[in-house]
Amino acid sequence: MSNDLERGTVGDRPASGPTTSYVVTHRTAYRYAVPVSDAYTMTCLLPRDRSIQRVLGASLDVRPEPNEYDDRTDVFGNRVVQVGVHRRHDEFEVVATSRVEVRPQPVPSTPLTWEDVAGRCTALQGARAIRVGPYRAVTPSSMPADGGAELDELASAVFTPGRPIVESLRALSHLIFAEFSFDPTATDWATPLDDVLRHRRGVCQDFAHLAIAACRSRGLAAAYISGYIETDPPPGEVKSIGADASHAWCSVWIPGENEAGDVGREWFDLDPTNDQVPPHRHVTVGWGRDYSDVAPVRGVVIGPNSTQSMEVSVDVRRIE
Amino acid sequence: MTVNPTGVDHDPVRLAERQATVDRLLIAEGAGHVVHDLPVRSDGRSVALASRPWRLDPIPYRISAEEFLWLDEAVRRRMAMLESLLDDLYGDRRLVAEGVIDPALLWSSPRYRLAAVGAAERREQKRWLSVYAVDVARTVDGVWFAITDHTDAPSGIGYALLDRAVLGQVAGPELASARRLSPMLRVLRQAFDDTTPSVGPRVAVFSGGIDHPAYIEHSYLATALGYNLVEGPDLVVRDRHLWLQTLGGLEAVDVLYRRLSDWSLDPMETNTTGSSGVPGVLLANESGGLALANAHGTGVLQDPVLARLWDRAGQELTGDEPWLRLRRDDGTIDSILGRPAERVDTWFDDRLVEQPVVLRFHAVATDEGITVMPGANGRVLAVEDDPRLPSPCLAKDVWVSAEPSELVPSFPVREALVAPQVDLITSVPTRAADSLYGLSRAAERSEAVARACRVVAGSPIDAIGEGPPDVALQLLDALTGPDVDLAAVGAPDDDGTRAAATERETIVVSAGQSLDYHVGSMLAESASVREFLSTTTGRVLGELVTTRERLTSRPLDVDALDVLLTQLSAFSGLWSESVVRGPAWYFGDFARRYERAVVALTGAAAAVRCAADPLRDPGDRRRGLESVLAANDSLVAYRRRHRSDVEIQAVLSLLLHDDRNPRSAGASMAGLDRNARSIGWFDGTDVLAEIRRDLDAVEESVDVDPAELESLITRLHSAAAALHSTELMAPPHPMLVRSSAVVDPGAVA
Repeated sequence: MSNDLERGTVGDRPASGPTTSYVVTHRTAYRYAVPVSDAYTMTCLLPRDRSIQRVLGASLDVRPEPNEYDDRTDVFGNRVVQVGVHRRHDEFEVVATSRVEVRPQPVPSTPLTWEDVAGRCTALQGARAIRVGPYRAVTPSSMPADGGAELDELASAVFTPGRPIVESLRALSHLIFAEFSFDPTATDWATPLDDVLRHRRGVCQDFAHLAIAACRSRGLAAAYISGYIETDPPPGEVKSIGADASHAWCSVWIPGENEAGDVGREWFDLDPTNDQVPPHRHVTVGWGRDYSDVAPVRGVVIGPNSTQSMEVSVDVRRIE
Repeated sequence: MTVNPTGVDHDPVRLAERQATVDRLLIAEGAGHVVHDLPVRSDGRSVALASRPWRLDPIPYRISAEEFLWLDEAVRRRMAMLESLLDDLYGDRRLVAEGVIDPALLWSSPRYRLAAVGAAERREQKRWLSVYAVDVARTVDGVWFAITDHTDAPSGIGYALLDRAVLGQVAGPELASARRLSPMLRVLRQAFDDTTPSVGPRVAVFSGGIDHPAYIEHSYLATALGYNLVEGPDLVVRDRHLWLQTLGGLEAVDVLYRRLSDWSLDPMETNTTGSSGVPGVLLANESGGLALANAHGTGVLQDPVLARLWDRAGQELTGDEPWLRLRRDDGTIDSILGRPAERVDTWFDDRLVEQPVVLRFHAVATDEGITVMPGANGRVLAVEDDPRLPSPCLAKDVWVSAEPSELVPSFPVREALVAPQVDLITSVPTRAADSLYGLSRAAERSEAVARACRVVAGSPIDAIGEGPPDVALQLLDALTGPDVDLAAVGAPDDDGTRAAATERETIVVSAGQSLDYHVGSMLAESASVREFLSTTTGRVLGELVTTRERLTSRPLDVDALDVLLTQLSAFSGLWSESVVRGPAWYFGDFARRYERAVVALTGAAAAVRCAADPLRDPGDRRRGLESVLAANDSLVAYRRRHRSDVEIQAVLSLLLHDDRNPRSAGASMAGLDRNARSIGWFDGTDVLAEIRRDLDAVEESVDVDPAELESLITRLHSAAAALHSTELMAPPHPMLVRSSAVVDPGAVA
């Protein structure tokens, strides 16, 4: 499929190493104070395969029973489902259940500096230019409106002259982890990058956008990844179901050792929220240029204007 | 008298006369004024600045036949080149693969629609561009340059037709040598038929509604093409098909001639803005056979950053050098062209001046090929204007000279294969019916308030503050009360005379606001249903704008009130004599009769109160009853029937029960019943019959309890509300469901 921007990573040369299996349940429920007559919902909840992940099964449950259900692949190769409920209802629930098998991501042993990578990335031609180019795009979420100087300062501290690419990315992850505080109250679903830079706080989505912005400002291609992370229960407690949440991190294009043949394994993930490079215990759903390309659930309801409440719960369970 | 090469008479007196006529004709089309600051419409949307006013230069711009031959080919080539670019950008992306276009730049553009990537293979749509427009300018030494491409939802063909229709009425015989524009309508119809493989498709013009700056053109074109003019709330996607919600149910739509930007078509698409679109419309486009003209995604060619690349990219792709080159720099027209733009004779502010001009040419693609309209929209610029920004608009009609053999236009148009697909009289979008309902109510209510104002304005001013309150004033108060926030006007004084004067002032001020509101509602509602109203009606509405402004500052200006009443009578005359009888008319007429019944009952209640008032002497009562009759426009009827002093029994008979008085409550109830049956609202006829029975039972005497009359009013209101909520409920607007924010449990490392 020519739309799959990371076509090469699927199955070409699977990463080796021990696999871990997870069952993920992601439930989103809306309740409307006044019933709505018509609702359209777009979801990006069903995980996709990649070189470090195999999807063993995935399904979507929608209540009430939808009048329309359209399952397709978007331009990034993600699985998106559009559903329509065209009758009165005051509750809407969508539950995604998936079983995946993941492997640890190998660390590229490339000696290339970040400048080399950026140079090759910009000079790409042919099918790879079409696949990788989009992730150099400057989108509203990956570019501060007026905080260009602060972003540049951050990028300069990390991307020092002649620094190897993997080391640079590790430094980037670490800097964000060390200097920005995790604060779920600081931002919402559409906080501009300027606020994150100014207040030095945010959530995983903001940190992923920040890392992406820093990479793209230096000519590197970076993708926003939407997915989940397995969390440990607090010491001495049993892990409670639904306590997990959606997670976001990013992935940076690094050319394979043998450019002529191997176009697999060209992406390397970093999770600045947890300073994991590469991340482990992560389940990928999909990727795009930024959050808005892969928002898990969004939609439109038609009815009298009223209040709506939303409830989200995620459960990531390891299968022994 | 001077005659210049355009062949048009440049005598200043003649030009001034022509300008005056042109202005009047444009106002009649609803095009000459700014519709602004109007109250909220019945569907809850407020109306902001709806259109920029424009004036039309009486001097046309002329292009010779030879010169047009070149332009025709140049525009055609440019459109073909842009079509190839779209094919590539959303298809193979050879330009990206070969390094001509930086993918980062392309993917950074919000105008590059991701949902359109690869879509050409998925949908049954024959082309990207069905309509295309390009702004061009000519240098003093005769070289043409393109300044802006319009590929998303180009506007202007309708304006060109409108301007030509207007100028055609003032131009002399010299117009006969210019090529006609009207054959373009046939080409357009064919172009929309040709977007889709299906035969005889149903086409609708998709507008953003009255708030859209080019709304006048949308409505003009829809009428001229014979298509429904639809807005987001009129449409719905079911089973992957697009449907129009009409009074008769859902009707399938096959082609949308969209006048909205592609990024606002479907709120389900990533990075869409606003809620003016139709959820799921892209799904219908991809898998339900719906065609969009132009296709979703064509707006990318208008991205200001990318636009600089098209000429080179197009040349790489097609191997052909563009004839019309695009100049994309910012600045004035002269700096953009790199040398002075040509100046043309212009009649501006009653003077003959020479100004630069930008011309917008239009091209339309059918299966037969590309047709360029032999004419254009001229826009006169000030020397310092940036030609890409909207400027205070002085339009210029553009005449292409015909060779004698071309006088009969030779458009490559097939005869229509299929007769018009739909009876537009019965196929009425629910929203349009709702607007006609609101329009009629507002018209009737404006008339009642204006008439009561007229009576108040005519009553002797020295009587203020003496004796019992003025009946006309009380009636006016009853007619305006609930609409206006009286608290905003201020509390009356303690002092007796002052209090009476202030009470009068308060009521008059609120009546003024009420008139302003109702006339404003008429304008707002009518603007969105222009295709149902005649051109003459447009002229009356245009004049109402001026009258409304006059009354805003002086609500009791007798002359302005008389003008208003004349205009409202003209409007209602046109409504009954010039609007086709169909569902839309019955809804409107229902609203009119309903308001009229309420007004008659309100008058009757005021009459009873006056007649039963022990503080009034007989002369005072007689004057009061006369005011009530005058306010109901029934005084003459009374005098014709009863050659006597005014008596309460006769007044009540005339206002309530006399079916021969078209303004009586009884006659209005009969009208309501007729309309309800025509609409097919049979649930309502029983309710109306009960109200009618109780109305008939009202005694014609001074002992009637006014509350009995007022309870009839309340029942009428609920009957009308029931009709509105069951038959007319305009589909409410979509609201966005917030996506689930990503909130994670924090650092777990």
